[in-house]
Amino acid sequence: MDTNTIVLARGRRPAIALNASALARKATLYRTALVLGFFVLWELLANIGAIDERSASKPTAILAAFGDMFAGNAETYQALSDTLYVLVMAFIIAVAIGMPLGLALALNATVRAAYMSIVIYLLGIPKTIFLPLFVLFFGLGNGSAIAFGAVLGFLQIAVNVVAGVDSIEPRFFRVTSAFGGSRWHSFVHVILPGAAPAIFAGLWHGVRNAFVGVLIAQMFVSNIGIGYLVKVYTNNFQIDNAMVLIIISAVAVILLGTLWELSEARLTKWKSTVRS
Amino acid sequence: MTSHLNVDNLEIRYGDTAVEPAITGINLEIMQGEFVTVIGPSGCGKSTLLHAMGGMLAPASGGIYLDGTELTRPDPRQAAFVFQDYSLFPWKKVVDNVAMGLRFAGEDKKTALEKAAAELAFVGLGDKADKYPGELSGGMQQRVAVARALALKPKFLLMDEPFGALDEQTRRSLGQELTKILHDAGQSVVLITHSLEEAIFWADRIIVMKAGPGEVSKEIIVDEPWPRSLEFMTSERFENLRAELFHRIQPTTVSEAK
Amino acid sequence: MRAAPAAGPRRSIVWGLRILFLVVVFGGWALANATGSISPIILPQLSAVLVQSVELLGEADVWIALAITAFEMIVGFGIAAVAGLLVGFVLSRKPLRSAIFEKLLAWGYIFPISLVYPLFLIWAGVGLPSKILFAAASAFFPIAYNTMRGLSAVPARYLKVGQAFGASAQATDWHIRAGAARPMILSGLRLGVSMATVSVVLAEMLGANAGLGFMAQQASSQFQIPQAYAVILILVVMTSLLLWFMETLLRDPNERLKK
Ligand SMILES: Nc1ncnc2c1ncn2[C@@H]1O[C@H](COP(=O)(O)OP(=O)(O)OP(=O)(O)O)[C@@H](O)[C@H]1O
Ligand SMILES: [Mg+2]
Repeated sequence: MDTNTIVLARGRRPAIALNASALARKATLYRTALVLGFFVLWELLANIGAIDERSASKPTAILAAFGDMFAGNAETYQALSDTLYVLVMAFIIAVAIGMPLGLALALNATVRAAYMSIVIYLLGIPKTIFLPLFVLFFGLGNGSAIAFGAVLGFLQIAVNVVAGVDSIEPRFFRVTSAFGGSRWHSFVHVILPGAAPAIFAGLWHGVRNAFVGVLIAQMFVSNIGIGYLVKVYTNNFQIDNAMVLIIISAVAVILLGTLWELSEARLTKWKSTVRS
Repeated sequence: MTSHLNVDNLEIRYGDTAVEPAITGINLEIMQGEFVTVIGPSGCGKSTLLHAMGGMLAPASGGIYLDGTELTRPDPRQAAFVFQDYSLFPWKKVVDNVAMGLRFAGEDKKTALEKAAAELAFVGLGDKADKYPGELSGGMQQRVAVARALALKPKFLLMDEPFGALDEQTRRSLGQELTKILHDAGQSVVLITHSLEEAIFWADRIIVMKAGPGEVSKEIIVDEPWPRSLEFMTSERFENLRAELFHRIQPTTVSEAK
Repeated sequence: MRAAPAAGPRRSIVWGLRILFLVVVFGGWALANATGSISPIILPQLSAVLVQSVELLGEADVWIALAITAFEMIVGFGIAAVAGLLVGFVLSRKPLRSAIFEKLLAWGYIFPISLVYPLFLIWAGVGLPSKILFAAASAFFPIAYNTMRGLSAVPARYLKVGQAFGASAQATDWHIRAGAARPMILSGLRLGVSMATVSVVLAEMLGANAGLGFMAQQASSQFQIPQAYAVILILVVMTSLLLWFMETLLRDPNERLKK
């Protein structure tokens, strides 16, 4: 940014910087056009009958459904608030398990040697296999959704915490001990800040996976929430309504992801100063 | 009473006792206020010796004594370390990096930060306190690392090739500037270097080591008065010292030892 | 902290901890069976599950279901791999193109795609095609995204080396771009494998008429609990083997060297 302002003062911008920001602006423009074009095309194809409106809906119908669902439909608000509640609970549990587990795996060589491979294995296999067991143990309703979301979330968090601590160079621990730091000091001054970017990323993956897990469980077992409603609407051929909920979920995740990125850049500003 | 750091018949081994020691039979006495340089072929155990003096390595036999008390773990108020690769925490602002040792020693945040700011000013970086290390040049980062060590007012400053990662130009100017500051402040320094000029020009005393296993092969007193002028560098005495060091640290001395 | 002799964790303790884990899981299971503190409708006898698994493995139906599930996973992933590599490659050719699509592909990846599976059921029916298409759709985004990112973010200095040595356009693509992008492309493919397996299992449980996921879901909803557990066990073993095989296939050769 420095170079930019310096050159600006002389009345000229560096060619590369100009190109980069111009490219980004152009890309945003085209991207928006592309997305709008997609909806317009969808609408047109549905209107001429090339797309079966009954099974794929169309943008204007979805917009209309948006109004209906939020105007007089308590079911929608109920589903949204239920899902939010379940997600928050799942995430809290995921953090409460994932963080200490990740730290234990990262900091204790014995624990890591014994259990890291199990955690990696669990992270890898499709957890959807165990859905029927979640129903058995946690029943229909919110319990299964919270549990399933929490399981998907905590594994992500734990693994990211380990990766974060591993990414800290040993020399920083050497400095700490050379300057008389205790183990507690090295935890507070080295491990936590050094692993912070990865932990932050881990929390994002945790939320995202918890959300996926919650929606999956709601579709599979629950009689509550967005996942459940999407399934019911689709089965009743109320595709417009299903699309509304799908779009809301998509936008929510994308917004949350963007927000996360922005706050990460802020919270771990030092990261951008490190030259490799 | 002036303090003194004693290295008494020191032997350090890495890992298995079966292997040859990294350094052995080292005896040294360093007085407070002295500026000592250590030179020797690569791998002869300079870093090992300095780490031991910083209380970071346990001796296989012998020991390190500060005013008669054995140094068994890092105590930066006695002997503080400056690392070759700076090793500043990239996640802490410069001033917080300098305050780190003071905070570890239990000083409250406010005092620590004040002292750190003063120390930064001392090395000429008063205006960089709120930057992150990554925003500073290599030379500046090394000054910060020196300030971090000095902030603890150590009796001895241990520097392991502190200018090794810098380019020739910066190396010379920063080296000259910092050593002058340290001399003026009466700071005792043990400095490892690969440069013959540095080893001679800055030293009250040069410790020459040889490899396989690391031992002190010679101590050379440089009794040129302070402040030293650049003429000293071109003097005949300097040339003679240089020639002697050059021959002593050649690989031939290594094979002689074997 | 002084330098201590560098010793790894004690093997005996490590194994002790592992065995402890197994003892807690299976001992807890056996204890719950013995005391009846967890109803057998939720947690069947450990032995019953094992007997059931062996019995199931003697039935042709199970092997057919297993083949169907594996087929859906592999074909779904295969389609996603071809499409994702192709799309990623094409999009990486021009900076503007990659700038336009980078966000779209990333969004496609973070979108909770399972929500649209019910639509796939409507569009492609309850048979295999809906599973395969759904798996392909889930696996497509990470593959396309990583391929595009990998190919368009080749460090300029590598390209300079190519220039300096007079590499042709094809040689640059093949020897420099593909090589530099390989780790990222492979990691995209591995993510794709995992997405495909997750999606197939989910799809089979949500709406299907064949496959191991379908069998597990059937058994548990009819309260044939030991059988449900047994099918799940078989499914776990099958996907583990499949994942292990694909992981080995898609591992970065450089990473192998590092180890
Ligand atoms: N952590 C370690 N583990 C095992 N051996 C080591 C370790 N550190 C150093 N050594 C060995 O001890 C000997 C002395 O090493 P040291 O780093 O002290 O040399 P040096 O004189 O500082 O070399 P250089 O000038 O290259 O920095 C070498 O043979 C080296 O291989
Ligand atoms: Mg060294």
